[in-house]
Amino acid sequence: MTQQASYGFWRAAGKRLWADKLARVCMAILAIYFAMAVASGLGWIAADWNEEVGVSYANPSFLGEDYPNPQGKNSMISQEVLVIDDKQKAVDPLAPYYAEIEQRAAAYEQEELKPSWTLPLGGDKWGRDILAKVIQAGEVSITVGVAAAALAVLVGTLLGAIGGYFGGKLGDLLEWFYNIFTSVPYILLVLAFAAVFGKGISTVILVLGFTGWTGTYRLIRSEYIKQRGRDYVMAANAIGASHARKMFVHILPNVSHLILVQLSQLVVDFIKAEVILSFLGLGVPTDAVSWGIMINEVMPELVLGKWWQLAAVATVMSTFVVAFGLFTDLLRDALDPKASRR
Amino acid sequence: MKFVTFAGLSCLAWSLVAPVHAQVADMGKTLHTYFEAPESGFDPAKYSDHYSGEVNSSIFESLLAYDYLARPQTLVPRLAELPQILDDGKTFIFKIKPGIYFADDAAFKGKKREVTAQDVVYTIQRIVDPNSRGAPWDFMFKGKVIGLDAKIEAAKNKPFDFDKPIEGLKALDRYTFQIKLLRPDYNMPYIMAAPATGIVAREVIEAYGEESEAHPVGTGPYMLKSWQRRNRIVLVANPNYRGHQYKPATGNGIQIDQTVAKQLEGKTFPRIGTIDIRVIETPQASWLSFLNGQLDTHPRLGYNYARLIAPENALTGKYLSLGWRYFREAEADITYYMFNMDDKVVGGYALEKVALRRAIAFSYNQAKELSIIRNNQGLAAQSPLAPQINGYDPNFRNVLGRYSPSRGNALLDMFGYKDCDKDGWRELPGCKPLKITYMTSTGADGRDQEELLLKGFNAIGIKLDIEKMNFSDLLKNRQGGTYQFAGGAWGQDYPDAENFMQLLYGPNAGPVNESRFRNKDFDKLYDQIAAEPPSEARNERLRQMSRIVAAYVPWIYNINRIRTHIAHPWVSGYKPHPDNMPHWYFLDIDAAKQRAGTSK
Repeated sequence: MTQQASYGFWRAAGKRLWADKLARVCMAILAIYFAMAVASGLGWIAADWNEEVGVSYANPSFLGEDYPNPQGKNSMISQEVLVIDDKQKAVDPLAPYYAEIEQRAAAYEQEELKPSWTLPLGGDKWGRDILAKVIQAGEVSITVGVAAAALAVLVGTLLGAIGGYFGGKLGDLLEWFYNIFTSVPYILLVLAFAAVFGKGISTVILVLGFTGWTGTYRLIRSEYIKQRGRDYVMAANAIGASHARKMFVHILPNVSHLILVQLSQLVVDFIKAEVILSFLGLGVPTDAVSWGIMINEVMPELVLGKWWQLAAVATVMSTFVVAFGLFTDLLRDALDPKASRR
Repeated sequence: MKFVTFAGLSCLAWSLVAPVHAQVADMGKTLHTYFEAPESGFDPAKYSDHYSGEVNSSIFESLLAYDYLARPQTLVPRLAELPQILDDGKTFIFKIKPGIYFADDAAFKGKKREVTAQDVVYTIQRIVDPNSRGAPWDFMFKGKVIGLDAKIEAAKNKPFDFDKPIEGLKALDRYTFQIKLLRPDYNMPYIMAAPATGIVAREVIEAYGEESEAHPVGTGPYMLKSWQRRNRIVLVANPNYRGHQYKPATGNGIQIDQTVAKQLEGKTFPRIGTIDIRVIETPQASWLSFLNGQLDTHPRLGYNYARLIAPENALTGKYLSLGWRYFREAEADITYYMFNMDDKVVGGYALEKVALRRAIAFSYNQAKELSIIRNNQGLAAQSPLAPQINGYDPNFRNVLGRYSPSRGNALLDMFGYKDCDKDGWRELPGCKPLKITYMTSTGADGRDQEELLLKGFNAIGIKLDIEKMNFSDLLKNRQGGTYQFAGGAWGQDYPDAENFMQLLYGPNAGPVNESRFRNKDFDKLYDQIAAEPPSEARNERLRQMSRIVAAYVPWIYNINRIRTHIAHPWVSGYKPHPDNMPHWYFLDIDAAKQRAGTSK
């Protein structure tokens, strides 16, 4: 027991966490997801997700080639090539260049790859591989969710700590700022931010981060107000600790469990919010894909009996969300020594 | 109870004027249907949106109408007989049938109000009056009628003078109306059949003023009973309506749907007392409502549901056994991409500009749009025209239309669009940066189209930027010419090629000709086709116009939509019409079967 007492706070928390089997499983799952996201970001895997490698709605391999796929057959129909008649030539200013066009075009002609009738997890309407697509989408969604949540929690914690710890005029000023911020309807606020930042994935992160900090701010502020009068803070005060030290070394670990819960909630919220932004045309650009986009695509597909995109994205996304939620929950327990252990 | 009295009175009135076997609508029968987008208001002169038009077409009547079952679309008498055409298409004389009355309204102070030629003169002037919310339908008469434009001009800063007589619009006597045009226009009879020219009574319009859209009073089979804006519209049968019996039009090449004709035989319309219309904007929701019997008819099924119930153009499986009435037809419309011909980058008529647009056209995969995005519910458009209209040639092919990025690349190389800075994207000749902005609306779920476009542009190495905005802003940019590249769609106002070709006519450059295409040869041909009746020579001129458009590429054609419409077996007389109007008054319901069907 004496040995354990010498552990630092974080080390002890880490030990408690590692002792939990469920936490280990969650960490393993999250490690796989993050590794995939990084690998996809570096272009090691799923780089060619946008290639039409299969026919439209190619069957998953386990269903086989014979599973009926009329859409696939349709997508194989190519346009008929027509002869340009004299009447058309007569009005075409480019008519003198026909021969040269044909000749130069030959250099660009590529051998057509034969699209496959089956893909490991099936294909989407363009015949793109769902497996590659879901990995690529995971990269975008995880990046957006985690980065935006981290940003929102950072801003919320910082402002909440300052407002709660100091109180007084500074606290009032921050409260006033918070009130103004929350009085603007959320969607309008998001649109205003998006208009300032332009488009792209980084915009989505900034927009969600800078509009989503308000809940965290309120929570952390109230917690700091509660904690600042506690004995341990008084003690720290007595030995002459600085404000910053009291705020971030003494009080912060005692509220860290709240921050982590906020973080996990926001990651999930932001992954969903990204869908709305994409719908409004401010989210991920057309040449990128996210889980939200994939979910958006499945409604009409289900009518056609094409369930594999939904199955893939639902499995992958719910596993991530559940693992992330459980992990933060266990982390919270580990960080709060007083929390009841089962 | 009131209706019984009305019915008695109107039976009496009918027996005097028309020898029809008068019957009144059964007030116990209700038709449930839906709109896929909200309506605006029920004043035909003020609103041009489609769904207001559907309601207006049932409340108001125009001088003429299209035969319900005849294809191709054939004009038949409605308030007036078919017109007498004089001066080679410059003068039209309409004889209004005597004894047709408006629905009762407080504005008539308890008197029966008959339709007269003066009402037509008033109605047409209202359509061009800028005070009618900017007169969205004025293109039908503006610049065409003798003396009318001077009146419009004079109305710019003072109220429109309805009383001053003009040469172009005259009531020759109580029942004879004459319209005189500056140049021949054989489409005038069609225009007089459009829902927008539904005849209104001046007393009513003046009594309600700004509120006229909520107090529609017409001569048609239905009246507005209640209106919850953008949510629910309830129509009831008009007890003053004279009753209508369907007699199929006859003539050369006219085909009649005999199955439906049998269902209509011997009946006096309307039969259904109440039309209950809900606004349901989600295709899935309307489909489910139809499935459980909450809707009796479902016009314009979503593409996927259309595909689901009838993959091979006939109902299959369990949907066949439900006994649904099923129709699938090409709609008289076209969707397209357009370039702003006044734009410095994509517009212009220099060879290199034509080459740029042609290269982009080469990059557009029309077959994929049709098979993957539209689930084959369409035809690959070959000209600016649409099926079901005069002058449309189903055998005409756009011989320049071809998906071939390699030819696009070749063209761009030849005309100096090279990748100067080796960043993978082409630059303009002379190495100036090249980026094309595609404008689209946020509302429509257009991601599929965007993906397809982007893929094409990437294949020819041109950077495409997609800018999204709400629909009204998009429309403003398109009409104001502050765009580079955008999507468009057009449906018929009347079934003639002129109604489509006007979208590319030079002098219309602006809100009508949004791509601002100007071509001397095209305009000359347009002037000819606008002033002549349909003929093979005219069709050849139309083909020539299509060839010019194909060569200069102000538009890239997408598709002509094919729509699927279904109705439950207890609805009889149902048939979609290419004019896209609902024609509810020809429908009938077997009430017992309806009850049984909905309680299941």
